[in-house]
Amino acid sequence: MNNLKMVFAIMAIVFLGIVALPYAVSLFAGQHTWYDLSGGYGSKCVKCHADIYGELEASANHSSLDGSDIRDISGEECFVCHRANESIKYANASTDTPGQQAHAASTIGCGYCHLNDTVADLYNASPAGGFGLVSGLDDDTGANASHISFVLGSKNASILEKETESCVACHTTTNVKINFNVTTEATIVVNNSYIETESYWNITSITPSDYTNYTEEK
Amino acid sequence: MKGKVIALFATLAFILVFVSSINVVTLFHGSHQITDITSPDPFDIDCRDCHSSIQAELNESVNHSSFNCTDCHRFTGTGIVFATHNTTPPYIYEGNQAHAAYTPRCLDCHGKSGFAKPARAFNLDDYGSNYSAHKQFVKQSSSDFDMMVGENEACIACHTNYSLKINYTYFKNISYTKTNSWNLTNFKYDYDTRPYNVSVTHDLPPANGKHVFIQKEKIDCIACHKNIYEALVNGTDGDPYDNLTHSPIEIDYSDVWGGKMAEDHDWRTNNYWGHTRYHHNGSLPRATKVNTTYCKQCHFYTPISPYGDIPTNRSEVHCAEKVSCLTCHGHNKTKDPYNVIKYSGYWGNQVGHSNLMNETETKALTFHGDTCMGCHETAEHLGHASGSCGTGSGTCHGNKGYSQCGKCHWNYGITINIESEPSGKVTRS
Repeated sequence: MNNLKMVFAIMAIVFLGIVALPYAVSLFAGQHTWYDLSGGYGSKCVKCHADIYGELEASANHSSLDGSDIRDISGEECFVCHRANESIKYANASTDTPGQQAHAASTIGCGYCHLNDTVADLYNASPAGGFGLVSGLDDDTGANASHISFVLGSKNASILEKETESCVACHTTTNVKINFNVTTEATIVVNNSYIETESYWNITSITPSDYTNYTEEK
Repeated sequence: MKGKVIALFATLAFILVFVSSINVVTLFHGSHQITDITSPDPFDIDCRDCHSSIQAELNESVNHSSFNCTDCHRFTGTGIVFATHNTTPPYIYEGNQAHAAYTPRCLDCHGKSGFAKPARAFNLDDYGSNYSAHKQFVKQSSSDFDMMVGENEACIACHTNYSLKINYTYFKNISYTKTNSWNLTNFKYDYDTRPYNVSVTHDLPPANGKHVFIQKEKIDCIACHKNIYEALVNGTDGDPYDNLTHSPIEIDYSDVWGGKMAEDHDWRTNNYWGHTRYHHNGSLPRATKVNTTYCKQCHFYTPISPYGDIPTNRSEVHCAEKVSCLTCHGHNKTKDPYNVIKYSGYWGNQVGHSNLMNETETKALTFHGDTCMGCHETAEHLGHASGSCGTGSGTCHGNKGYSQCGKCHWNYGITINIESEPSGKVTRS
């Protein structure tokens, strides 16, 4: 008896499904509904990059890059940076341009705007002077910058674009773990130089001779 | 079994919901959240976030512990323009020679700027007078080495608890002859060189920190100049007196003969100028008495009564003056021994001694002390006994009479070989 009831129940569900559901179901709902890109890309980036949306909302800078109100994050801000590189041809529906080096967006280093005086001026960005890297800024020598090694070292790292690792480390809320290896000792070699009538102490070398390691976490 | 199936489905559902709620995660969380640096506070980006160990060092430092990092590392007295992005004046500067911070020379503040207490003498053009014993160290730190900026190697070496190894090389020994007419001849110095290595460590926590400044009064001359300490305290064993060199501090300060100057062979605690013997080290063991204070008695002389007007150049040096015996005791100097030579034994030759000092002064400064110590080192005095020198029944001076004692004390010639610090071994023939 119970088995009979179970059979009827299953049959009822199957028939209900046949009547109620469409004849065929697309694998991904909405995949045939195309965005009209002629009006901008807007929230399309945010659809996937919600975490960055959240960061920009809390950010002191870049949240109004598109000229909108500082707290009106629309997603258009993304393109100000990620389609800023003029050497890259991006796909553009409005001009019927296929992309070449990049389609929708390219990754970009901070230096694209902040280490180029002309571009910085174009985007009302502050040139990051003091590292000797800002093109167009004649007095930018970086001759005494404490963090110059960090910045130049970042250029050789491949995690982010060019020197961006160093920019992000200081200027954003990204967590950073730094393993320092610093000198704790110098060896000084001193020779007494002398002839019969004159003498002086001559230092022939001062070199680091011992190190210690420690970790800082920001 | 049913429970496991339910748990499995629940776990899968949780993962599905979790993954679908975060579509894409940026590579570095927070990399798009820029820190606000628009306030006038230079600490918008807190240096201590990455440099907390430096803060820990400064907490233990006797100097600079009340400073902000920016007081030194964004010091404005050098003309460097640092990157600034304020919404209030001074608004925006791009920065030129430095962005967030620069590595300062100690003399940026302690030099001519007047921002902090000047580093005496070293704050002047060409680091001041040539009397400063450490001028060459400072000068070469600036011009020849780039381990640190400017002359900081020298500053850090003495003023912080940063560790050092110092490898010295200098002459091993000299020899010369004092002729019977008190001329200095046969001067030789190129026998061999002496290596002497020093390791300087501090027990101040945190160890070895360049930002842990030590109290000026605790800068220890002996830490770096241990060869001098060894020469003054240990030297080379001898009988009845050790070969102790660098300065003729007394060996035996007991007044056996009751203070009869001409007869008493003690090393007196009063000197011939009527005040306490300047090199006197009291009843304390040498190992205790020979310290930075003792070094400064000559190398950073303080004119305290009753020592009087010793002609040094203290006001023109940083912490120590290049001196030799002749600085104070040279011919026509304040403590010229001309008038007291007669008390040296019985037969002092004042003119001869002055001549010998003048000829010593023509030699390189580095040889002056050992030339003097060739005679003034107590080593090889063969004891004291009753009777006149060389004529009594005892073993006074080995009973060798004028020809032996008079080599130093009178008009006999003597050839001397003396080793440099720390051994100070002297041979007289």
